[in-house]
Amino acid sequence: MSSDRGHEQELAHLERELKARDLLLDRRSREEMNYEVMHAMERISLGWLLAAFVLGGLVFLGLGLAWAYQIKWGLGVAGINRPVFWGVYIANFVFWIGISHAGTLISAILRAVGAEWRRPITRAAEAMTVFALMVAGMYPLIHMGRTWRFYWMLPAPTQRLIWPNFRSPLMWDMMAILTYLTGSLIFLYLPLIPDMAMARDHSKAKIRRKLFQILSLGWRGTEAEWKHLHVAMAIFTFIIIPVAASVHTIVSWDFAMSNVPGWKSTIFGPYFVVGAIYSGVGALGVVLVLVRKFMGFGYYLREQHLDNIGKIMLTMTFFWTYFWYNGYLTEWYGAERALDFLREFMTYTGPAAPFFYGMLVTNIVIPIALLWSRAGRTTPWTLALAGISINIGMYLERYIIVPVTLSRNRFPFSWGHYVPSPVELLISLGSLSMFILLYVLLSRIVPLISVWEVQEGQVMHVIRRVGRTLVPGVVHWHKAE
Amino acid sequence: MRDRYLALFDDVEHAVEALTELRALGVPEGEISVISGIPVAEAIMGRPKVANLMARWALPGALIGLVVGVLFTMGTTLMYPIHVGGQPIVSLPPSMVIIYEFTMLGVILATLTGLLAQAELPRLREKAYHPAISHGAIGVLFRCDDAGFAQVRERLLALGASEIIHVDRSES
Amino acid sequence: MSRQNGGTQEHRWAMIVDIDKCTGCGACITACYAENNIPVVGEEEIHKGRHMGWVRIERYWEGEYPDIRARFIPIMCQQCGEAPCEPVCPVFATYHSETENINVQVYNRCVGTRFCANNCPYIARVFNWFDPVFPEPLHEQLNPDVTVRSRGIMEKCTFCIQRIRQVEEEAKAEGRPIEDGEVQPACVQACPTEALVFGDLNDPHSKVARLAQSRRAFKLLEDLGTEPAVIYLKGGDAHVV
Repeated sequence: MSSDRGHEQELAHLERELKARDLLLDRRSREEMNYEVMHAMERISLGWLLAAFVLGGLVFLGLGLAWAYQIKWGLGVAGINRPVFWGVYIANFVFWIGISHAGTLISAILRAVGAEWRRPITRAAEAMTVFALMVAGMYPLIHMGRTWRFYWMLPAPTQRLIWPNFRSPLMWDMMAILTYLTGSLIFLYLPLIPDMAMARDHSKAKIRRKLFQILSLGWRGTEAEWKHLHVAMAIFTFIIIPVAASVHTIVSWDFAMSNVPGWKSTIFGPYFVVGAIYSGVGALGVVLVLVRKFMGFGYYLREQHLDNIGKIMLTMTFFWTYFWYNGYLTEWYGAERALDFLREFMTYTGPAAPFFYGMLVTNIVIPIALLWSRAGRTTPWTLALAGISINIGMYLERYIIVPVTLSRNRFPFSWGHYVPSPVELLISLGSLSMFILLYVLLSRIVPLISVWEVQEGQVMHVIRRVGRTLVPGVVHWHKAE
Repeated sequence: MRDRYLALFDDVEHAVEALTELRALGVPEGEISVISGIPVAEAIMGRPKVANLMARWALPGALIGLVVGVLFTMGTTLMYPIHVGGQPIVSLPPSMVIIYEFTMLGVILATLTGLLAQAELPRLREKAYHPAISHGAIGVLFRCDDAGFAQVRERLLALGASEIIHVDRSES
Repeated sequence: MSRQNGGTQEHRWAMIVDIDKCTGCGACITACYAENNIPVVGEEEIHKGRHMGWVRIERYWEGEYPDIRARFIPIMCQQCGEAPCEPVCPVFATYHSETENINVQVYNRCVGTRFCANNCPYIARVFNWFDPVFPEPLHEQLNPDVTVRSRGIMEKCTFCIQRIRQVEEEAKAEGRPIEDGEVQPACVQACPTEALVFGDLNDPHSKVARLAQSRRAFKLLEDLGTEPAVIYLKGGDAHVV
């Protein structure tokens, strides 16, 4: 008898352990989860107000004042010159498009392969995509010489009787971003509808109820609504993956279609896609750690999620290293004259060497060191540190690709040197603030955890006793025929 | 006069029993529907499958996108031929990119339209609902004539309905 | 030569640059500034790499001191037959003109993406970083035949298209063919050593057509396949750049 009781105690202990390990086994009532997520959403603290205020100020300073100054006086207020016609604006553009890749793409891939642990992270990831795309979409405008004529690039019949040139990679870019932004917005919105209906049902503030009533489109959760939502999400999942891949490929083609030594490369397409996912996952790791901390979502975002995100980051580290080395080696071995000039400029003691070696350290050494062990991946601050390091590294990579590469060319007489101007730095700071601000605002407007998807997952996951022990299992009841 | 009623249940099993009971009491399948806070497969509730015709929306969307892409890339250059970089006026390789993006955009917009049309959203004035559903309750919505309602109500309460709401009077 | 430039192929305006004759005096640059209303930006901006000249004279040193020589090579827009700058422009601000067979820039269409400038392997394009300033009385000498460009747009050597068009129209009005040497861009006109020669390559008797056959002829970065209309002449043992 006593050994049986000992075994029961062991099983109870095991059950607690299984639940602690996996959110989907650690079932809570829907009501409890609703209120927890709603409470985090509705709580407007002094710290939050302060953060929003400071960020808003920085956005005004960068995207308001600095940009207006640049439009008024001309692009000469930036550090760009001849031959470095493109500077940090384009580097920022590529960077933010890269960040946008983690959200929707990761979410879509995880949905496509039925990775159950994705449930609490998809919303936060998809929101990241939309905001990063909004920020990225501003840069071509900021970068333009005559921003006030941007609509000349829109494909519309006008009195000018001329259409845009659809064979320009910039037009491809615009169309790809338009498609991706539309797709990601809808991809974020669709699974949000049932949660906004939930928020509509249980918000106390009248204005929120009204807002959610409109945003939720009067969702009730009928059989037809669920069915069609499910199918629409399935289609989106598989449509958004090739669209996302195309977007960053096309961004790379802005460079690869050219004649510029160091840009004209056939590996740029996949290299950029890999780099985008890499920086995006890094940013996602940082975002998840921050959301978990500041929204008090320790119950939803657990070690298992940090661990998995860390593993994806580490995998991408190797992917990126492989692609980078592949490009570097072929150029080194080919020893084209103009590329030799570039390599002299950015390696050993060249002026751009700090960027180059900084990139290698922050993109390869630090992430591997931090993410190799499980402890490193599951400790929030080390995971966030790895994510930040990756993003510094990936920014340096883009910086090397854009202004550093342009500094050297086939005519040594026309070599150049680029230093970002204060205006460029302010605008960059403003756009970073805009991204954070949008996220901070969103966190008070929509539930950052997809509650219904978490509950659906919890209903499907069971702990069963098999023989002498407990085994976690999945009942795919949405697949019931 | 068959009014609409919404019965709320705490879990799936009780709701399924209630559905069986309603059928036994002569409520036709077409006048019953289930409302839930998470998706519940029709098979679990023993309900007929909802027909989904999303492909009929997505495919024409793709086609329209494709045509728009072709018109933009090849049509506009023929309307106003400008020679650039020695490239032919109409050339497929650089056009493919735009055609691809527009095709995808077509699928995306058509799928969204298909969802809204088939799920009949937005529907802001619908009253057949209860906030408890998004807390996890299962709602069974049915029509019932005034004469039979007393009996239905008694049976459903016996089966564990936490609440039965009179939604609205109906003209049908 | 080019794949598909279409049009009438009436002229193929071209320039010969004999770098054996170039002394690096800079008269071509000065003439170009005056003819094409190019703003003078000042020392500070030039130091940043923002000089606006459409022609640059690259100077290379040859040999070791004291046996050292300067070599000069004037570089302007090469008016490529298959210009890499053209297809990347999203608004058709630069394209291949059909009658003159040169690469033209439409200032009013340009939105300033600067993609063309990056894609020019000759670094021949310049950008208006600020609005141009012509302090008094310099504004009195602006050429009325040439647009003054605003900030935010690209520009580059046009082979003095205004002069080409003027001669073309005069010849048409008088019902006669254009004579060789009748069109002279400002730089050609100003060159004291006649290192620059301008003419129509499609006219087999023109001076440029003859010089283009020279054994000294070569084109810049010819292997890129851009089909430049600027042909350089460089001698054998005496002059090596």
